[in-house]
Amino acid sequence: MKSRYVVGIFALFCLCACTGCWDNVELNDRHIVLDMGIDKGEGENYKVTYSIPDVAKLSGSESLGEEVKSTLSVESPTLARSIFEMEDRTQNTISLSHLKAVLLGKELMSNSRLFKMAMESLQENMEVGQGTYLLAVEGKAEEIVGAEHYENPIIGLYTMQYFNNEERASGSYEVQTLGEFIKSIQETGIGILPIITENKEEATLKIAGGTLIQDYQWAGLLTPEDMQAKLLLQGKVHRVPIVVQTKDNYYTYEMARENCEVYYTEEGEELSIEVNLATEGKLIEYGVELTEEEGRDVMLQAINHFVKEACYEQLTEGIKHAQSLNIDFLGISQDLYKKHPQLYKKYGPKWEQHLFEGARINIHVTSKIEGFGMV
Amino acid sequence: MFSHNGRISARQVTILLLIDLLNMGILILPRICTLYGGRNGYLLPILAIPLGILYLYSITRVINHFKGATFYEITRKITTKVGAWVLTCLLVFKLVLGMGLELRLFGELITKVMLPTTPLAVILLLLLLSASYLAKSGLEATARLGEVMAYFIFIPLFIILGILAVQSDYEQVMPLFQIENSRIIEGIGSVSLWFMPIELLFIIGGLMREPKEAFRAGSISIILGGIIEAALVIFTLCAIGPTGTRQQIWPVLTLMRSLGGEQAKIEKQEILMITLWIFSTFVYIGSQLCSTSILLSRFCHYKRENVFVLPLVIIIYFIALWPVGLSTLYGIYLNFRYTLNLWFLLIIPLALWGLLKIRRVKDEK
Repeated sequence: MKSRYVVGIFALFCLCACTGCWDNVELNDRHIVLDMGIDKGEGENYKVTYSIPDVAKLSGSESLGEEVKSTLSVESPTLARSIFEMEDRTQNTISLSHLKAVLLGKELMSNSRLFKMAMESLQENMEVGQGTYLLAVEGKAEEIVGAEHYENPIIGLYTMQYFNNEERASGSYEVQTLGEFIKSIQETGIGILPIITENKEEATLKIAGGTLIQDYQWAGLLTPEDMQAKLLLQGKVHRVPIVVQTKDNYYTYEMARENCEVYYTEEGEELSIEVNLATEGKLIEYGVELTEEEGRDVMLQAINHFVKEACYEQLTEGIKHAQSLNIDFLGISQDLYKKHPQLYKKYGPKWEQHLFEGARINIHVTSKIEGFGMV
Repeated sequence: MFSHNGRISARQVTILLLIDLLNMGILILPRICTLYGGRNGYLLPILAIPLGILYLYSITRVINHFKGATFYEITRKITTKVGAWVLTCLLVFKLVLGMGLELRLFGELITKVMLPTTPLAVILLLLLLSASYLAKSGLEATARLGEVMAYFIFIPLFIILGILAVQSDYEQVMPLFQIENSRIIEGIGSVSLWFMPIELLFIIGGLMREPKEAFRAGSISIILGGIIEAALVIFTLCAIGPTGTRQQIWPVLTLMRSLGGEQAKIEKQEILMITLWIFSTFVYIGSQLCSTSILLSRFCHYKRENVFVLPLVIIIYFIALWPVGLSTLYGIYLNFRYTLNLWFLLIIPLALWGLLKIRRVKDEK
């Protein structure tokens, strides 16, 4: 009998613990931040902009607030301190457990100490998921986080939906998450962040191109074409329309699949790199009727030739840009290390010093048109 | 529901040992494996399996010689009375210290991930009291609960491994087979110490319904544990990279947070990992506490085998509170592993086996 009482009291004690003990917080007492912008502030401070959505308004319920979100900026020497200072100014506490996107200003990315500290702070914060998206801003992140975008008021939700939409063609940017970015910097010293820009007149947002980061330092801008070259090398381009022009007509070739193999051989004391790109796609827009009588096969061959040329040019330009910066953002040295560690031992140390700059990379492209015509 | 014949089956022993092995390895093994093996560190848990089997063989050779005996009775018959006292006290000290440190690791993890403002002392007490209730119910009840908990531990684990297997970037573990030979040998030795829970067979091996099955039960746990742990090391390396895995004390925490990563359909998937960790710690503390209490009861010639559970709870609680911070705790934990584990996994079992042969102790089977 006595033991039953003991068990009963113990069970009640455990039940109390189930509420979360000292950590019990009502949802209404929290500001759930979905996106934030980090800029360099005065001196060696951060300027952190938190976008706080009105959750009631967002879900379509009645709310006392007028706006769907409010943005608050705070200058602080560390990110942790910025949360403390923010909480001084609001009735609720700040929760980063649902953070979807972090926007980084150019000035911040140009200061390696602040940038590195910010990334490490986000990684240390157990509330912030490793899958939080990172985006670069070619100005101040505060301006995009704080701006009113009627169609997409919450940048965090916008980026989440943007990147999660698998139907979207991929070819002008590379998705970057906190965990992947830190891993990339730690392993290779190089990371690329997609650039988000705002069209103030239309109040729309666009994600394209990339910001090149080397050892937590801004190292250059990558155009959407550079990004496409990188993605072509990785075999990640799909559904990208390539427009080619023959005598008097435009043809649109949609790249459905592509496969890129890189081969490394040693010729004497030189490393020879061969890039073999194979694409498959279909003509989705061609304007004229392609019948056998009108020399369809000849026309297809000509289109194929132009597609190959377009891909070749894109890869060549991307490689040239990487060589001019002397930063292997295409990941060729990493590929060499993973596939041929013995060759890497010999050429790897010289790679970043001078070898990459002058490396001869031969490109071979094959393309295949799978289908065309009305169904 | 629970009968108290104090005997457990080989299947129950397999499950208890496997849960204990996973609990010990999940948090610290990825870092240790990467320190020795770099991006190929995942090979070490697999390569350490033969060494684990060797430890198991040396332990089961001794325990199979006696019937229904625990470590105290075995050492009493093989060595002298004083020798048995010393060795039993050492084993109890090691088990209690191990439980205390494991409990503190649990508390630190919960504080970091789930309950940051709840006092550590409360978190530790909650788990310890729950585990002590289990231990108080006896070895058979503990083993049966282990069987039940196995579903709650292994189902989330296999879901996690499935998710990770799909989303992992396997290029991180390339190039393959690039570990220096000297580092491999050192790494295998270090990782094999992770098989420490098999020393529990010194206590529960003699209490099995079929003691002969102890070797088979232990082997299955070691092989399965090694394979699961190797998979976890691969996924940790893929998610965080070798540098990140080396730098962080608990890289698995970052692995947990990367579970809900890019394009995840369900948010907060890391909760699966935390769930299995909490359950496995509960079973680990429960089984170790129960075994230690049985050993002490035999040592003091008490009939009731759970009489030492509550006194042990108090000692374990204070041991768990003792380290000042996480880095101190981690240092103590690693020193503890390196200095004490090898003694009870290999040196003492081999010495006992040698004495058994020299003194021609009668086989009791």
